[in-house]
Amino acid sequence: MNIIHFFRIRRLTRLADGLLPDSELTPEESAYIAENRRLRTLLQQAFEEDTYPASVPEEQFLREWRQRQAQIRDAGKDSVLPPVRNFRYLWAAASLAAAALLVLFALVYLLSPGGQPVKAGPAVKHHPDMEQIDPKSRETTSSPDQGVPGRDL
Amino acid sequence: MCVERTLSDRENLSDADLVQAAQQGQHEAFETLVRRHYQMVLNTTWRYLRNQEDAWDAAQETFIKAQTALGQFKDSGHPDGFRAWLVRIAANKSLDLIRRKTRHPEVPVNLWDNGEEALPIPGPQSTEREVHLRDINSVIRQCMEQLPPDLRITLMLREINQFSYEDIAEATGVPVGTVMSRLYNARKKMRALLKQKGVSDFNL
Repeated sequence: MNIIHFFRIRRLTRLADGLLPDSELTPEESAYIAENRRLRTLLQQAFEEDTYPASVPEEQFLREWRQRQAQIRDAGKDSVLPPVRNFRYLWAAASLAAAALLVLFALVYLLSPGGQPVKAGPAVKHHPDMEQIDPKSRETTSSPDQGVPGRDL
Repeated sequence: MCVERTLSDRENLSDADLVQAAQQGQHEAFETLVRRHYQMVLNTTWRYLRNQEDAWDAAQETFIKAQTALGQFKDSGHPDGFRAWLVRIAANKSLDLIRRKTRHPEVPVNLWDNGEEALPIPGPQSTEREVHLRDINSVIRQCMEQLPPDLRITLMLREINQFSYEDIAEATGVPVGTVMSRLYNARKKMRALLKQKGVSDFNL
């Protein structure tokens, strides 16, 4: 579309919508305006009689409107989402939560020593250093229930 | 002074008075506005959606939106100001629904393709001219259905609902220049289709 045609379209459209003064029009422009006025009349007439096909009792409409209002009040938001959308949001939230859990498990696995799962270590062998444990500290750590004279266990 | 009004009192109030009362928190005033305009709103949503359930939903959402946005309504002093405001919301809600369905085609799209093929059956009292007019109107609506959706919606917003170019641009999400070229093309195609059907010679 060349620039002249572009501006011509704009001018004709504005003329057809009565947005430009219709003085000094070319015969072609006058004809265009007349045709579009006629088209507008036809369209308005055709759609004026095009009404909602079922009869809707006032109370039925109002009842549902009140229900929707109550739903919004309960949900605390300003638009009612159809169930299919609610389900979609739930599904998205569940997927995100599952993905987050997977990432968490992967991190735990990778950060564990050597990248291996933690296993029970080998049995503790007897070590000579263990002999040097202060007998006093052993006393303090021992259970008070053990070896108390006269205590009936 | 707070005066309790009965339903019949409220029915006699103008839209502007009811809007003012609703803005001050009188719930019943808004309900009266719903009673007064629900049929008109249903007709508007029906014209865009051509599906009873969708038109119903969009009409319901129109009033929900109107109530939440009532504080933004500015009374221009025109007696049809509120009505025009509602029509704008209804048209926008219808377009929202069309967009939603286009994005999620698993929901069956049923726009402009239901039962309009059949010409309306004239009643026993219809005169020949009335029958002729009904036929013409039906043919015009069928021609509209043949337009691509973008052109059809733009033309309807302009010719049926008298939206400005700027409002159409906002509602359809395209620049004003695109709105103008769509209007030009829609009118051109409609004139051609009507001529093809022999409607252009119909004398109003």
